[in-house]
Amino acid sequence: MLTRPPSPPRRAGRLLLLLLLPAVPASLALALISGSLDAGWPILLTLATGGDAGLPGQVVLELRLPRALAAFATGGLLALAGTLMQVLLRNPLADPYVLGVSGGAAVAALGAMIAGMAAAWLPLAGFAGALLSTFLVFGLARGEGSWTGTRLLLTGVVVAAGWGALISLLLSLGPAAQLRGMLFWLMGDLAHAGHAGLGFAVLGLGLVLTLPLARQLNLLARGDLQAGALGVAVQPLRLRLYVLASLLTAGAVALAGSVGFVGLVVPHLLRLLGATDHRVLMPAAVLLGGILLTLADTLARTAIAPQQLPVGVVTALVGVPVFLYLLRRESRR
Amino acid sequence: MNALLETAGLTVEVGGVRVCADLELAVEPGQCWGILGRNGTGKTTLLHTLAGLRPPAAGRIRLDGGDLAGLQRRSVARRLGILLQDHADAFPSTVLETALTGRHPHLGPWEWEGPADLAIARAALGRVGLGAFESRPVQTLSGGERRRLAIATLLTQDPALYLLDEPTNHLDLNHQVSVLEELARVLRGGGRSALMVLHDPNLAARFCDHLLLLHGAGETQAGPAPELLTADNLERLYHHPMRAIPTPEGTAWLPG
Repeated sequence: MLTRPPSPPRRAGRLLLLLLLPAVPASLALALISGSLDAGWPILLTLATGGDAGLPGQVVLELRLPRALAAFATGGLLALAGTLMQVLLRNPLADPYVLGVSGGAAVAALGAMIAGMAAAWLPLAGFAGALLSTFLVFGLARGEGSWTGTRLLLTGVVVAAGWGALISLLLSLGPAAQLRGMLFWLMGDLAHAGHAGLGFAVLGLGLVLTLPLARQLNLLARGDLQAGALGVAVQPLRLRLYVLASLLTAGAVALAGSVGFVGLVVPHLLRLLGATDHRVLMPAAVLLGGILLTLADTLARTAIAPQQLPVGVVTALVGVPVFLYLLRRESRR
Repeated sequence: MNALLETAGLTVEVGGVRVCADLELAVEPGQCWGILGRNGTGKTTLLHTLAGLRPPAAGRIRLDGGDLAGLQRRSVARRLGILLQDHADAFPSTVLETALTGRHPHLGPWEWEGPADLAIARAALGRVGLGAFESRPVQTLSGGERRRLAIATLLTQDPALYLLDEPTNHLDLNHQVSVLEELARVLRGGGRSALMVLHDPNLAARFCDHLLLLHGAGETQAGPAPELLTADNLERLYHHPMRAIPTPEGTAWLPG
């Protein structure tokens, strides 16, 4: 007897993941060989087999590899956080940054810069600021009743505007010598990201804690009442998602500052490709987010070399038109 | 006989309106209850309360002998299903995927829907006439088709107690009758029960053996349908004169 075909969501998901998996090493390899110093495929091969590749090998291992890994981790964190936020707000156009998370992180990090703290503390300050901001938003939005998507979104937008004003204030007060560093942090920059290991740890923890919730997320996306009717304890789930999404965003912000649009565009693109089931969507978002940000950062390093662009500028330049296109498409339905 | 759903001293309020007070209701296996009342008397709120989706103002609800408030949602969902009035489709999904969500309470946390679940969902789609719609995106369905998909999802969930909020909403005449007949067939096979909010006393007379009338301000009447379906009761219920027209199949009701 023939074996029965697996159920459709599982089959489609397997195909999508199979397509994404080889793109992961490909994007990393591209990041490793791109740059002003020529390090071609033979050098990667030498390094992979444990050989000595001299100076180019050193550049690849000590400069490009940590940066490419940090980019991948940041992209994965942002895309997963975006997926969770979109379910939480039941709005396919939501994004971790819409809720003022990046603003809180930026204010904390800029404050730390002005206070003269060592650069090593900036990620920690950003992490704390991101968490503080999300707690603030959810605390304010909670009020007396339960969280609703609209109230969360509105509170987030208003809090984000408040952070924006504080950022302007800090920029106008900050010493001129630090302005350039502050701007790069605000725009998202991977040049100084050296904590890829931490990023992957947060990402791994996030995946372990969210993947078991995937089927409940499928239901929550269909409304609180419908999810409750089908056996989901809605309020505890929402609280858990919020804490996880904040943690993931804070991890990304700590690595790279504010990088926009990855969390918004990646889940949306995957849904268009048919990944509507969160059991597929979440791991696929991590992979695609990592791939896209690795490529974007490679572009940021090389587009107008030797000048480097902040990666946030690249994601925004690509993300804005994609977002507007998706929005138009949505309204035409 | 053990009641599937039982209320004791149940008081439900919403936005300052009292829906019912000290309601004692016992829904036994095989029974089909109709809930009738004017707009705004709280029929939906009562149904949500009975499903455990909102807390009552006072009183207790027991499902299968267990306190509803103390049961895990998953275990509630295996025994009690509710057809909601609205469906929020913010994200894309196909008809089959949507119907399969009904299997959620029956699956373990890591389990995927298997061939058996798939067969249940396909059978349910067939029962509401959506068998050929499997891979259609939900967003492209008409209101009536979306309604029938929600009913198919409920059939896929396969609970012992069906709470139905206006199951005939958005449906044209032929589908109103065919969907209710399908539900009646499901109820008859295997001691399942239903409580449904209806707007048409004729459908209630045809498909329900018991009625709960919500008169507003907390006043209710509950009992066997033939006893409660009188011109007096319906006029009091709808604040409108009613005409009883005798037909070979029973009495038909028309607003006067």
